[in-house]
Amino acid sequence: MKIGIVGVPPQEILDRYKGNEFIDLDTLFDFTDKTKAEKYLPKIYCATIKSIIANALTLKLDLIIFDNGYSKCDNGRFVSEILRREFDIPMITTQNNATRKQPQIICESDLELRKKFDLIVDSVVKDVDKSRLKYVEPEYGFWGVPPNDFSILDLFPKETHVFGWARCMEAKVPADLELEMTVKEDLPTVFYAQAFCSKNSLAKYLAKKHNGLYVEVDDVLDNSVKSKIEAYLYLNRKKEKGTRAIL
Amino acid sequence: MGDVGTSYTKILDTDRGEHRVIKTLELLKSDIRFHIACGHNARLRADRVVNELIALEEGSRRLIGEGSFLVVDVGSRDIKYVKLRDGKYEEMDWNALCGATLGFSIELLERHFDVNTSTLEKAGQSLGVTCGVLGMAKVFDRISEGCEISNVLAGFVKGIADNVYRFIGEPEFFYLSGGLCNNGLFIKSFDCKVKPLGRFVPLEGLRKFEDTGAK
Repeated sequence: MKIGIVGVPPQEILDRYKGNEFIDLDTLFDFTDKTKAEKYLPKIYCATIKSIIANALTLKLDLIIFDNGYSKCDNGRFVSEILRREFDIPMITTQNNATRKQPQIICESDLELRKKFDLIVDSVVKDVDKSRLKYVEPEYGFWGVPPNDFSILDLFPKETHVFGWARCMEAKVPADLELEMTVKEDLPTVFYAQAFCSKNSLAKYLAKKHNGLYVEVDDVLDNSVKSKIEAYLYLNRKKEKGTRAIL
Repeated sequence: MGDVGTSYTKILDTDRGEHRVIKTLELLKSDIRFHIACGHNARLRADRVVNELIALEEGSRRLIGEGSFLVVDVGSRDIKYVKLRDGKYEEMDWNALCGATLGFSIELLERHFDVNTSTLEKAGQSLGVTCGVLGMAKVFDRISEGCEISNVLAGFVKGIADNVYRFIGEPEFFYLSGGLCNNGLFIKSFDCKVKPLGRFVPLEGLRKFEDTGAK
């Protein structure tokens, strides 16, 4: 069976379908055509949610497992209802209330930030081998959900720890608001949220509280946000590392 | 050296020690290239590009000194600021989308109404501008309601100043960088003390990087 998943469904539900092909519908694939989603959603809307609808319309799925409660987001809850009513695909909706935190080894590893996120996303539906991952002392933090456009992650050095909902994903506790709001004190952190996502309120609040940098990205990374992050990383550098101001 | 902004390019001829300003459109029609540059369009005319907020920070240090200060650059398209405490970086932000396009919209309205806003009296009331584009819609609404054009435009400029003031955390004093340093009304419209530094602050900052040879 080809199964689309949204969010982080409870492990026991995923285990029931072990051996099948899982596809994370939150992902921006090369084939994701978000204009398709505009049949059901406003043109100006969260890019991740638009990807879910566009992917569901494109892929021939046998089943969707949609974690649509407060372990995901309100937009997800509404969109799951549209999918249920309008698409002829069987759907299981869940609320992941898991409270037992798994170790967050990927989030603190010495992998490049993009690879950290690839692995975190993979870890939702696969067993990921973390035995060779080494801890890295952080110089920066990245707080948020897996971005719609992963190229934002390439701006950061590997000495970047992951916080926010992405950390909850690895910990397998997507509804753990306390963990989601936890960051490392005095670590320069970029607080990222997808435009039109309700997590912007948390991102903005936490950035202000921790003297971090709040960034909101609609769809794909633009030059303005890129420059803003580059400046923040440079101004918060621990030591003189050559001339990273020269781009 | 060049600071290649959205609307204007600020140039420093280091051999002659001369500054000049040209329209960026004019630059793009010419064959001028810079050995180092910053600004939104810098990549189009330089191989070595410095992040404009870093250039602003370095330039401010050179012009103000190493103490504690807040410097804000209000450009055609964006607002950015850096705050230093005892010579050390403390805070920054950069607003290029929502709440932006400020300098650009003032210029657009000046051309449309053939008014130099710099000569206007400070408005008692702000127009409540969210951003340049949304603010313009309010300008046309007020005029259609019979309000005096000069009062409406002064209210628009005050709205923009209020917007900037909130964005930078409502300080008691700050340094201003950018083309709006030449707009007396804009400076008067703030509810705090403002010291204009002119529009060549980022160019001063580029001096730090001019001889590094690094990429």
